[in-house]
Amino acid sequence: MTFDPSAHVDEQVVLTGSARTGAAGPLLRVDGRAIYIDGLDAWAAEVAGRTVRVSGVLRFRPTAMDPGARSHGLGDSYAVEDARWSLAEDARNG
Amino acid sequence: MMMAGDRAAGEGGPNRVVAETRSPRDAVWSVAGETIVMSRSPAAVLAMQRAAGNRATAAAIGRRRVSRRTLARLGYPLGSKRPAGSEKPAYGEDRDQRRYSKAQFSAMWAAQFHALSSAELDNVDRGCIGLSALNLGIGPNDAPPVGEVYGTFNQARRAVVTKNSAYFWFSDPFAGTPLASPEPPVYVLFAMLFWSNRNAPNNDKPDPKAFRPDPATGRVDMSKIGDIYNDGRPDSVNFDFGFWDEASHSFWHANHGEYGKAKDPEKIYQSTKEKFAHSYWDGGEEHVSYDDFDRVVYGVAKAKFMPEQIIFS
Repeated sequence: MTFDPSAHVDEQVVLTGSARTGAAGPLLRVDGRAIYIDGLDAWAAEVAGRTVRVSGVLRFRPTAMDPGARSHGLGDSYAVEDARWSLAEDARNG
Repeated sequence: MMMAGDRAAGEGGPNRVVAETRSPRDAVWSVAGETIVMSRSPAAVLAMQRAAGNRATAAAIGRRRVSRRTLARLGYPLGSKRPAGSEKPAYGEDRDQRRYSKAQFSAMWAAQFHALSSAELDNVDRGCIGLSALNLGIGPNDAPPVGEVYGTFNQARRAVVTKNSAYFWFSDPFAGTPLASPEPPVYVLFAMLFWSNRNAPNNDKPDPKAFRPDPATGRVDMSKIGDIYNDGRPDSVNFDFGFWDEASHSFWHANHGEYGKAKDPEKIYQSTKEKFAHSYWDGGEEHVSYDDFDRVVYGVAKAKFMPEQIIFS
């Protein structure tokens, strides 16, 4: 079963995925979907690329672009607010 | 007195030429005892080259360039300190990237070329794609053409050199001057980062075979790119375009367009080609620069503006 973020909007979630760097900011890649981390500018070097567990409230973020805009930017997306994260392997050990 | 262009190509040869610029529009040359009045256009420059040779023409044009060098340039090469008195990028700088505000970019463009028109400002507001469109001289509803793109920077640059060499251009005759048909075309280079799987909206996984260069020609078939604005990777930025500036050896692009609802303002980036497009693997997936993209292509296009420096050799 793949993760569908639209089914968990405004819910408290705990997600495990890969810490990646997107053009619009740091994100968690979960089953191919990008979940952005609200308030974070960049993953720390020791976290980037590793498996991370993130908890917080999942929000839907409609694109800031006008409908039909022939422009450069982020489409509709999802983000975790009030996010807390840890390396998944540390969480398992803990 | 004769007008430049009256001579047949190849006639005249590299005679001793005395040149001077008497007005912003015209230049006057004396070639082998004859006086030539030449209008300020690339076609006239070409005619002069054919009549008098590259060295003489370059000498004449070089005289005009002296005054332009006192203006603010659109950008300085990365990797070394900016000259004293140059504009400090509003959003910071690193060795491989400078981050300017739109106002700074507009001021540099105005100093270098001309004040941006309303349509040109609309292009700047579109982010990276608009900056490439601006440099190509195309409108704010258009995208850079992807009819001739290559898998590597060097292949595309070689193609541009070949095309420009056919017209005997030399660097920087009239940067920023609009080029009108049927004047000889000037070719330039841009790049595009994008996601390989275009089967939106079910395209979160990459398509490993899509948009690969033809091994014989290096060209990439873009016929299946679809809607470049909306068919990118889900939850991601749609693309990143960069315009190659031969004078500063850097790509010009942006973080995103300017929207009223955006949290952060548009920032205009000047990046080395390695900063703009670098390949890496993460989690078994191929990427280019960001998680949003896994392909980069380098395009060849005609410019409607004379660039700061023509890609010639």
